Amino acid sequence: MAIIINLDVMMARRKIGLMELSGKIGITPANLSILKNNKAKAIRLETLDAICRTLSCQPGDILEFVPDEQDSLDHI
Amino acid sequence: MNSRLNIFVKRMLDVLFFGGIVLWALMPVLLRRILVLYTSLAQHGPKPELSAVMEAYVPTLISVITGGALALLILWELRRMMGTVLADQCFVKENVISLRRMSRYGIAIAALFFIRSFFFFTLSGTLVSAVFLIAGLFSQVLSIVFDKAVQYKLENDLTI
Repeated sequence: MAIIINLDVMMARRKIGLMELSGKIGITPANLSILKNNKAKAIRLETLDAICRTLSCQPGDILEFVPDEQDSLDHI
Repeated sequence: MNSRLNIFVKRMLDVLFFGGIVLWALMPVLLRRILVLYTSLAQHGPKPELSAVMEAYVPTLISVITGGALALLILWELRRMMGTVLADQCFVKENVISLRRMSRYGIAIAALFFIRSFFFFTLSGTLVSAVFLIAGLFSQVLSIVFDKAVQYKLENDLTI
């Protein structure tokens, strides 16, 4: 998928673990792991809100758009 | 979803499946005896339908055994599906495949009894054919609906 979740980068910057973050934002470690490993299909705004609030960051710090190879070829 | 109804249905399917296997295995012996019994019970000679079956005993036996095997396969798939319902994991791809298989088995039974009616016509055979054709088509539609439900569930599960 073209959207990359850089949650692990932000977590490393804030020096916070998976269990601690999941406890603070109120989702299970299993679900947070799905999100962290880019396996999620969608993210709720309330989850994004809780993550940004806890990590003191912007949604853009967590989400990044990386064009697929096919998209890059289409633009040439 | 271990409700009493689900457990009851699972037990009922178990009884039908294992009882069906026994009946299916004994069918070559049982069919002739049942036909003889019914014929002797008929007060004014053999009923037209029974006499038709008696005349074509071998094709009847083949159709009943083949149809019985397919019906047992349907019961097997139903038991598997009920297992997933009891485990509260019914929206899985395996159940979509089970429904597709049941549809094929149902349509195969319908085709079998339809073809049989060309060799000797019985009203019950035609009814069986119609019922299994409708059930097979419903099962096919249900598999498509179930497939969509599985996709939605997967999306929902992966929405964090």
